[in-house]
Amino acid sequence: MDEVDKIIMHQLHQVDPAIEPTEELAEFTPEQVVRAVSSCLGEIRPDVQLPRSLPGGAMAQRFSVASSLAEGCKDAGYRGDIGYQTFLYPNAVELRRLLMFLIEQLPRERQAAEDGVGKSQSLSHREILQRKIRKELATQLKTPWVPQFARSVGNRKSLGCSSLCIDFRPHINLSVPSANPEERTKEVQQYFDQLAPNIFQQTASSSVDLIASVLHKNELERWGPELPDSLHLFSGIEEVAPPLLPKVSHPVDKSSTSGTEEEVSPLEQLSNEVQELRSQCESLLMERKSHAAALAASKLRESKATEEIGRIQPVLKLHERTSLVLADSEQNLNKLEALLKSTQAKRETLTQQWQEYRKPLLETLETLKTAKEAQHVQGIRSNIEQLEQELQAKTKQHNELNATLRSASQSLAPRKEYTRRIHEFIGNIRKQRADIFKVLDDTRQLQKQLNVVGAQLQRQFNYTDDLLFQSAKHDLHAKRAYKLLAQLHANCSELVECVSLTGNVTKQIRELEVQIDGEKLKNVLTSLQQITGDIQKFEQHIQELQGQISAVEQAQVNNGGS
Amino acid sequence: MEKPPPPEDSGLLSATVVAGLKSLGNIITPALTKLLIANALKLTLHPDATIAPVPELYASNAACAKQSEYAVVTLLSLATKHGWDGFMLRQQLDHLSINSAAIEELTRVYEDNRKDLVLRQLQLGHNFPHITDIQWRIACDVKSSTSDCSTGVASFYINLGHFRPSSGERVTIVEFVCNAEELQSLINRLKEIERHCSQMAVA
Amino acid sequence: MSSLRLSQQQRDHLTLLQRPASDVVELCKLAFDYLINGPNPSRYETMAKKYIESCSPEAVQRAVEALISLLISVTTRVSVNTSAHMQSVLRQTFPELSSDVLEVLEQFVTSKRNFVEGSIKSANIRAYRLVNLNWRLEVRTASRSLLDQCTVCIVMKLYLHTEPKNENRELLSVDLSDRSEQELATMEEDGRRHRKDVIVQTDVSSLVHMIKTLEDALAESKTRRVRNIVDAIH
Repeated sequence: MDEVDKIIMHQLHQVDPAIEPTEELAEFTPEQVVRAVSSCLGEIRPDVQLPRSLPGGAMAQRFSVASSLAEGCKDAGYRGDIGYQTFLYPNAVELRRLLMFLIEQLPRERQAAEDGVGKSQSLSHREILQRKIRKELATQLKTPWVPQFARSVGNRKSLGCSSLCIDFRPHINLSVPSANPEERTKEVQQYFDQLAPNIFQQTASSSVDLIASVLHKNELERWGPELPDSLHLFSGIEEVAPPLLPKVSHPVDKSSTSGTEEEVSPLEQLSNEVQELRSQCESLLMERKSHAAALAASKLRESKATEEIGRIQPVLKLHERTSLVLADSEQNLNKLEALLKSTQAKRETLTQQWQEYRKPLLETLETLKTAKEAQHVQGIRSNIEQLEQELQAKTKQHNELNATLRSASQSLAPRKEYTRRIHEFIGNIRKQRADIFKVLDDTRQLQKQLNVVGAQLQRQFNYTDDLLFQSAKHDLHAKRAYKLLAQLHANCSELVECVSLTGNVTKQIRELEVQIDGEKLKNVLTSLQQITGDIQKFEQHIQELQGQISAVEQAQVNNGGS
Repeated sequence: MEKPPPPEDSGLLSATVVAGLKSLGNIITPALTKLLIANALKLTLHPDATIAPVPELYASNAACAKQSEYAVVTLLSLATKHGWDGFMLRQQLDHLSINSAAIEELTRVYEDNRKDLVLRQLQLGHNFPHITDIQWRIACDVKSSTSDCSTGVASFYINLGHFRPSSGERVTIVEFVCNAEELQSLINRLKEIERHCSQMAVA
Repeated sequence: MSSLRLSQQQRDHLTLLQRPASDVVELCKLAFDYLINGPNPSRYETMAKKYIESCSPEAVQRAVEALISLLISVTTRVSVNTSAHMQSVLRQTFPELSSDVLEVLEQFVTSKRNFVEGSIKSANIRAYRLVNLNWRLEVRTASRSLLDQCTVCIVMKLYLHTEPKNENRELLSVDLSDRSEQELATMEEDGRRHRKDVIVQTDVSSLVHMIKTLEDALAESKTRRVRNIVDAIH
């Protein structure tokens, strides 16, 4: 039993850390019992307000707290025997049963819910649905049953009239005036104005539903135009047709009219003319071709000539300039030299300027390069440091995890142990069951044998009885024997009765013993002592109160007298 | 958690519905519009109830009134189907440039009766025969054409059924017989379902 | 303590019972087999060959059938409560049989009593009985008329069968593997005639109500009043 107690203690400690684990449930004080039960109840039904602790003083308060907790347990579905006495005079067996029930009832979601508080925004659809289902189920389980015909009235608030089912059966031919009044013919308009039933009349039959019908019709109208629709087809043809028709019909028209009005000879004349024109056209075309060829040749020649000109012109210019220079060679040479010099000087200053400009730039480049390198080194260094730190953290974590793993495996061991023990118990129970069956079989066999023997004995007796009775008429000894037989029979049946009585008594004794054992477990004596103590306290309290009352009365009398 | 539908959802309404909505407050007078919407709502929510007809709706321009009735019912069912709130409905109607008084009235009626509309449309759809009522009797045979003596065991005749919502008439869905053990195992089976449900509700 | 009234022909067929108890046990086994699988001539032949005093396989079959007839008449005509009572009835019906044979017979009759009772007594009016129940918890998340919803319902499939007793029915449903085509066909035919599967649904609140009502029914059947009535009829 102590293992069960340990588990219970563990669970209770998880529910409320304020509950100090003790070795055994039997050592629980009433205060602890109240604390434990009210914590569990608070977890199971957070919406109910319950007293958290047992007041130390007045009995009446203690009694009311215990009663309300007992009520709470009953509401939570506990079926066992429970009352204020369970809390005020706890006994281990009942308490164990109650706490086991409460722990079983604890919501398993508690842990998960706490984890989920932080990220409640990121609930997936699935979780939302699950939550909805859970809520729906909880409400449905809680709501009292209502007969079907009252559901549409009574359970409305809880959305619970799920039992009223209407099949989705649309009226597939709902007639409603179409969107565009111009499209309606006069007769149709008249029909809708006077005779046509409104949609409610159309869907009044129980075989169709109004909402199903309108949803169906709406969808049909929205998607309908994509299907081959007579109106659409017609307008399409009209649009395409006009450009097609004239093209085909015009030439035919002309030829036919000219053919019928004039005679054969003009036709021939005309064809001759056409022929002539055609040959003329051909010759002209040929001519044109030859002209075009000539044109192309001339164009080619022209382009060649322009090319030549382009090539010759720069040469010509060069020649012109040299001839100019050579005309006055001395002076021109001096000029050229001066020009050369000035150009050289110009170049030098430019180089100097360049150098001046370049120098600071080079310097900055240098500094930047070194700075960059240093930065890089710095980065690497810090990176190394960071990695080192990380490594340390990781090793630390690893150590920690190792430690937890070790402790976990240690705490796992008892579970294995428990399962092993449970298996053992189950095996024992099986064995015991087999034994019981064997005993039952034996008993049945015995019963059967007993019956057989009894029946045989009965027959034997009847037979002997007959025999002796017959001979008793003649024989004196036989008469005596008959009497003896009767006596024997009577004595034997008395004996049998005695045996069965003894059996019954033994059975009763055993039952009583079991009952006594049961009662002993509840250690009534100490409870009784406690109860008597409490009663005495009550009496004392009452006496005090009476004393007070009489004192007050006395005072009043005195006041009245004076 | 209801995501607002994208704007092209105004395409949920067919041309007929739009036309019907547009005539509200225009061709149909504001007073009649109010009456028409109220009447349409009543008939939508209580299809089986007998509601007094409103002849003045059809006194003039009956075709228009019939079209608008259809439009109002469709609008309310679609809004309910897609879980629009009042604001959403107003937005959609604004988009269609409908008479503002009519929009006001439609939105008000929708918001006031949204719960009932949801309940109404919740019932619609495919269902297996739904059991809401159970009846039983205990019977024991005394003598039969095949046997002279009784089996000496009581058997249970169990009848599962429901009531027809329109007429209140009871409809038997299934009827069967069991003995005490079979009944016990049936009860156990049903309790298993209940247990599963309560586990689902807690876990 | 009346004896069973048997016709002379039946008695003639049962003369095979005047043999050692072990042979009678064999005969009873054959009768069991007959109840389940129907007649099996080859086994009767081997049985007949075992008996030296040349009795025909037909005689064995007749004896087996007579045994079954005896079983039926014991079950339907006599209301027997105790084994002693049964024994005395049998003894008075067959005064010529030895006691160990009678014991075998008694065992035969009592062990198959329930089987026959189920098959025969309620055979005249075949009501559907509940054989099995499958269930599923369903949540409807959307429908054509409401896109966002969460409706919980319980769907149950009820397997109903007119064959009243489990023992008889199991023979029809289990172990399809090593059965001949014809047997399978007959079984299928039987299934079509006697089986009915119904799919129904309910809501949780109605389910709870159903459980309560059925428990009431069960509790009612256990009250003294109902028991007294049933006992009085018996």
